[in-house]
Amino acid sequence: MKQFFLSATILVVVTIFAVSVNAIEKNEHPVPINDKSCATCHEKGSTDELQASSDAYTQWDTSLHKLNGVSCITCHGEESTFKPKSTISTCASCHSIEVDSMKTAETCASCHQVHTFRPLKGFKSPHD
Amino acid sequence: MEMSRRNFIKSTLAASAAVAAGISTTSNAVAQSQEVVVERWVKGVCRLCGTGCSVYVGVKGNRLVAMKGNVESLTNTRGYLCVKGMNIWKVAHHPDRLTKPLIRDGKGVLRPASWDQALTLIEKKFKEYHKKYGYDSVAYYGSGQCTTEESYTFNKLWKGGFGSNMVDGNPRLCMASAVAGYMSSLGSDEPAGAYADIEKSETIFLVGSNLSEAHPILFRRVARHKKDNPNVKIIVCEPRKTLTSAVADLWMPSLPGTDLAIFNGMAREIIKNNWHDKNYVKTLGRVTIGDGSKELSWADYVKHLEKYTPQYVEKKTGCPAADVKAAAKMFAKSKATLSMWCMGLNQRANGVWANNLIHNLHVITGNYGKPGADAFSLTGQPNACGGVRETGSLAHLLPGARPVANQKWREFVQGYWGVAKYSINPSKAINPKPGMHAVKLFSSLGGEKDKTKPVKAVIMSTTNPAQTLPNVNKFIGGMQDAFTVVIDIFPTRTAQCASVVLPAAFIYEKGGVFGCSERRSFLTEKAVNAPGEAKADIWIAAQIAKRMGLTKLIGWANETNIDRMNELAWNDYIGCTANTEKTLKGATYSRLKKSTVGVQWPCPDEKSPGTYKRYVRGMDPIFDNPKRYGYTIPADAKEFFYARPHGKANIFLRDDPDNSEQTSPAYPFIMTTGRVLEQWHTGSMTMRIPETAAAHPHSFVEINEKDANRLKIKNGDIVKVESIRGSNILPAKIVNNTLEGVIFVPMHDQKADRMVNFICSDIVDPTSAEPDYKVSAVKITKVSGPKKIDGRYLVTRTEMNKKTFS
Repeated sequence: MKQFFLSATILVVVTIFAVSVNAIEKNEHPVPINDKSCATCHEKGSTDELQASSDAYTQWDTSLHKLNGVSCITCHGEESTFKPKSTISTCASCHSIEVDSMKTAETCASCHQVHTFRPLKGFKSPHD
Repeated sequence: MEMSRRNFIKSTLAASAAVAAGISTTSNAVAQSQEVVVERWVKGVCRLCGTGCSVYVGVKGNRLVAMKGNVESLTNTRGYLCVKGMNIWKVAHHPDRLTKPLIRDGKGVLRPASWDQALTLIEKKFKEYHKKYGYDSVAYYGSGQCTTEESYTFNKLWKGGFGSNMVDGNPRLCMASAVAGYMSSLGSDEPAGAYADIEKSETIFLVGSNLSEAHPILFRRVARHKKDNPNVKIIVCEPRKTLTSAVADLWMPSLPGTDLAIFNGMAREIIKNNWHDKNYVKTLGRVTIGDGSKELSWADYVKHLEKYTPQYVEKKTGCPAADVKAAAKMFAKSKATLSMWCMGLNQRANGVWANNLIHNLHVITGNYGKPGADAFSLTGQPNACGGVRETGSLAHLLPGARPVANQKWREFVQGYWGVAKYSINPSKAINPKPGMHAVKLFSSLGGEKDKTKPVKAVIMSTTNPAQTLPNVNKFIGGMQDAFTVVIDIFPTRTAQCASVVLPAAFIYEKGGVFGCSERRSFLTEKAVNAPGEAKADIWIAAQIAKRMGLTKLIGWANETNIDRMNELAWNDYIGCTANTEKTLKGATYSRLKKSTVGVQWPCPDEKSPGTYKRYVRGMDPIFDNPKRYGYTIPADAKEFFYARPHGKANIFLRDDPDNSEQTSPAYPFIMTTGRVLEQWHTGSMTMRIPETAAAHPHSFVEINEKDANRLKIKNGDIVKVESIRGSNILPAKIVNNTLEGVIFVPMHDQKADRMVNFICSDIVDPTSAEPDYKVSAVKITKVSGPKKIDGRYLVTRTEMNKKTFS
């Protein structure tokens, strides 16, 4: 019985992972957005039945990106243009000086926290 | 050869283009490798607001595929773009683009036609109406989104060719009060300073502007300045506590329409505390009243201000008395104070007076001529300043933003244009009488059967008055009954009313000059060809000129190359205004083609770098040869408002009249309207960009939580917002960022029952004739609980055949 639960759990985890990977590969949002604002599900304390992780939203909520009107859709697109991870060329549309000055083939997220955008500790700036 | 990071980025698509362009990506890693390769980057300006962000559009073949900011830019410094700007290129290839002329048949259906058929019909109607009803029966209604070359051409065609001043444009709806404010206070339109003052200022007074959403890139500069210099003080004065207030030291709430009392209250406090600059006032200030002709004393001004105690101001405006005192101190005690405002001051029943009172604060504290100090009106459109104000494409102006009633200037322009030789009007002269302002023009527009309507035809370009006029229901019938020609890139509510629809080229398909808020003109190069049979406005104007017998007046009418047409029109324009303070004589087309930052007027010759700060010796080239511009400047004057007699700026005695629509027991709320970050104007472009449409798919009504509790309205409930003119059905958004009794509705939605201008008051400022969009008395009632909203509504090609709005 115990083994059954373990197998079932692994199966569920693998299935969820597979769905997740599949979703990423298709560049689809895991669930239909249906014109809801991102905050509906991603904001901390959301009461929507499809609650999602609020970590990214919470980090973004204190960022300079939020202050300057760079919201979820700016980097992740909307339902028809959704991309789970923003590309470096998206960053370059505003930060081309920084991207142009990168000496290594890192992505912005290699050194900057993904949603607060603060530099991670211990990284030496790759910018000129 | 290994592609470096730098080259990879330079050659690939910016701004999430791969996905948005419809290119399938299977994973993030693949997404990067599949990004569309940009073959060339073409320089230009953002198509949207008045900031004038400098951009490069990425082109592959004959398609726009990307956009990126220009890192050398002096407007969007470091190349930042907002979400609208970085995505605006996507509309170019939208399937809804109009690509063929359309003529409405007897059954009301718009049928495809050839250009020759459409232009022949326009020629026939214009000639017929000129003969039957006079030259003023045919009007042009332009836009702050046309290029300078286009606006100048249409303006010349009408005023010089037809002898009619029936030329107005949508800047009447947004900037006319700022124009009249600058003219009456300083003697010359447009700001003395520039965006560069932001980083040099010690206090920034943001009033009547939600900068964070309406001008996000300028907000970024302000926020960065504050972050780098925490001692910089930022004051925000507006009815809603928006994101703009997040960087503010002080938010001054004010009930819509009442802030004149705040400005007078601040002036009173400044003088009472002896914080005013007495020497500046003595040298460069002049107290006056009314139209400015009668000079009064400083004592008269002080006496006038007595009424505006902090307590009076609090009672009138809702702004706490302590905030008035604090704001006055921050404003006056800084070494350099910069005020920036937008529609919150301009779109008002007393917009010109509100502008005058901001100028008063700057005159009494000496905040113009030094770095970091200025009274700066922001513009909402990319070429309202350059294309409409500077070319004089309004009913009362001529090129150089000088009044048509000014005989000396009128005669000069008449001679320069060769009106006596070329005009088809027997008067062979420019009409000295101003034409009709926008609201009057559309009130006077109607069919031939309507004897009360003297205007029988109008050609409208790049604007959407059937959605943007206040109390818009009043004007739709006239537009449907008259002979109306619409030039646009997409179906709009106005195209739905049109007799003829002409497909237009998008800015990156034709090129041309845009002049932004800070007097900076910048050339956008043509990047790709327009789709189908879409044409540049300048070509359309040229065809009309030729058919109306005005080929010689419009010297570029026979050209076929748009770039060459633009250059000839530009040369004609800068020659016409060469001896005015608006001179761009040094901004030759070849210079503009080479420049990656544009040129700020005055720029009298090619050696001139352009002008960051006006009215200051050593900075403003007008001081080098004032006689050339018709001015006299004393040799020892370091700062001088040369367009005013004796170089003195006016300090106006302005009261705080309640000219706006007042609330009543039946209509107890004040409704104010405005922009949201991701949308622009009537949404004809931004509602077609997937990302911005998703971010703001429909309008809503913001209601203060206390009002909502009282009315038992919950978040998402459907409510009816109603004035005596019309109503909207909108989802409620319950907020705590606005004053009780004040509601806010964005202005971008095309859905008929969410078009807010059906509700708006059509009171206009008595001087500028700019409508009072910011203050309407309304009532709100709950209709139902939450319901799904049909967002992203767009007028379609099919709907253009329907008489009623869906």
